[in-house]
Amino acid sequence: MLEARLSSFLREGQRLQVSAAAVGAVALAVVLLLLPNWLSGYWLRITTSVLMFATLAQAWNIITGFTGYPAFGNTAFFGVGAYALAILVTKAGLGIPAAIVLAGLAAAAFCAVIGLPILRLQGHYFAIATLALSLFVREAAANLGWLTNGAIGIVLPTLASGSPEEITRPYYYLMLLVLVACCACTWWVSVSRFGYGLRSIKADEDAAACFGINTTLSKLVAWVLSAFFTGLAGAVWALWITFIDPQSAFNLAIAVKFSVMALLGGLGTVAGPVLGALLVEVLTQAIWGAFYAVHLAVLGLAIMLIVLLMPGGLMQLLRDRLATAKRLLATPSAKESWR
Amino acid sequence: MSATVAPALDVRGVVKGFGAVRAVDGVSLAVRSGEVLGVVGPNGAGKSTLVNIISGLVKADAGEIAYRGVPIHRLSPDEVARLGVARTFQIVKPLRDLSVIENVMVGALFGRRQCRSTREARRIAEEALAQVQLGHRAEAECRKISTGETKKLDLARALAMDPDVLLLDEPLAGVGARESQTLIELIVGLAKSGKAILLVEHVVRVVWTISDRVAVLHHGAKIAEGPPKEVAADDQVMAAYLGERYIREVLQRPADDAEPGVSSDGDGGP
Repeated sequence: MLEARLSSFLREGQRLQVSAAAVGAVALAVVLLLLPNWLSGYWLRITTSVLMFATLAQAWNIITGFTGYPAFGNTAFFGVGAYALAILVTKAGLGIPAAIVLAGLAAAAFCAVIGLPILRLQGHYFAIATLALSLFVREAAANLGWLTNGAIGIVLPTLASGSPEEITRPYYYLMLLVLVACCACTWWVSVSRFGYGLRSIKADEDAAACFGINTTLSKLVAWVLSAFFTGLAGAVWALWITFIDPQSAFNLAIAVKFSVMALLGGLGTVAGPVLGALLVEVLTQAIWGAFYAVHLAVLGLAIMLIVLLMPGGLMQLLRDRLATAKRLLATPSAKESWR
Repeated sequence: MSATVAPALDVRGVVKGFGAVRAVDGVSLAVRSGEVLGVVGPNGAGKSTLVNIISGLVKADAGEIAYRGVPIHRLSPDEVARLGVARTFQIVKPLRDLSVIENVMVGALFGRRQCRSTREARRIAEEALAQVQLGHRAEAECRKISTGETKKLDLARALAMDPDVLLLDEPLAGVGARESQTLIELIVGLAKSGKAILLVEHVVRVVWTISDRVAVLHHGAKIAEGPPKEVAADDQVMAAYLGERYIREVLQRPADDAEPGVSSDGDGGP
């Protein structure tokens, strides 16, 4: 009797949670689709940048947050995506949509080739190897002049003309599309059999193998997915920025930024990296405005404080708060059922 | 020894050296379906290394291992696991960030069952947790459970893999007396249901009570094998590796009143 009432109460709660999530998702989608109509060109650029970094942080989350492999050198795939798009559009004359998809696939294919040897390394060694990879690809881009124009770089055609808002709009929607696809993939990872394999590898790779998980293949697929979305973001970025060279396309500062964002938001969660990207970008803008001369120092201080105060990231903090709230809510109702 | 059917697990002449030390020195063992083979020996005898070799984590320098007549010593750990050889760990490594039931689901998803749906895996995991009497902790975070519960979790995960051969590396270490009894009954029941069990255990009394045969390892080599009573009667072996006092005070007593736990057909002796 008591059990039946309790479980129906819990089912009711679950239904409410699911419908609340659905309403929230639809509202968010509408806001994101209409956002360009309300923002100035300046804020539209910042928002597009948030979408790009959220994608990079989320893609990094697949290999680092879920699988436990700190792939700081993901900038290599960002650059490969950017260059692949630039070459496909300017030299092969491909249409934009096909070029974007192919650029993502090029980054994924590149990852599949270099992934097998590098994924044999673990921990710091893996992290350093990926950084070396990024530097190597940058040098390659600078020296393969016949393909990449070397240090001169490649100029790309613009997609739109007119006011600053109109110019930025197509890139905003493209970035949004890439981010949504990346989040959908991460969500799938978080609930699927494949994702359980990745989380087992993160916890203990040897044990994971003993449970029947093909660790080599799982790690490789995780990194290839990560590289694919990173490459897509690089491709859209190249279109948006209209000029790429080795220095800007393989910029390790980008890696610092997306990894800080993912860490702040919460690794191994779907919402975390997106929230982290939003927080860091807004913080950067606010601090930049308020402390013009020393904004980098203040930003660094803010990030240190956040990491110290919430080591599990934003999502952990939210989960803890939610758990406390649920406990407080659950207590009186449990008492009621006893009567 | 009239084995017409290949044993579930057949280990032949396995050798493994680490530097100058021979951790495993030409060990041969066979475990048939439905029997418990106890493996004992002092620390450093090579028990855990042997389990690591069988499960594919460590590659042997020499020797062969067959699972139902099929050689497995060149396979990777995941291939061995998918064939139907599951193991537990001396020092359990629960998959942190996953709840207890999710840890067990991993066994159902990737072991021999290769469960494709997480819903089905959850159902199997619930059953396995009930078997080890850990159902009430299903939703707990695994970093918040006790050592004994971790051991049960490890065993449940191995069961969820649906193995024919179970390699249990000290499943009772750190487990309380009452919980130990539960696990012992479970292990005996699993053997009766047809699983081949290789039991490495430090609690010697338990090994003697539930094993059909016992093998004694010392410095990596097998120095005795046979029905528990015969091995216990081998004064030399027991004095050297378990201590005379231990035999007098512990083994001889429970060996009498634990008769029902000891299977009668202790064939395969030396």
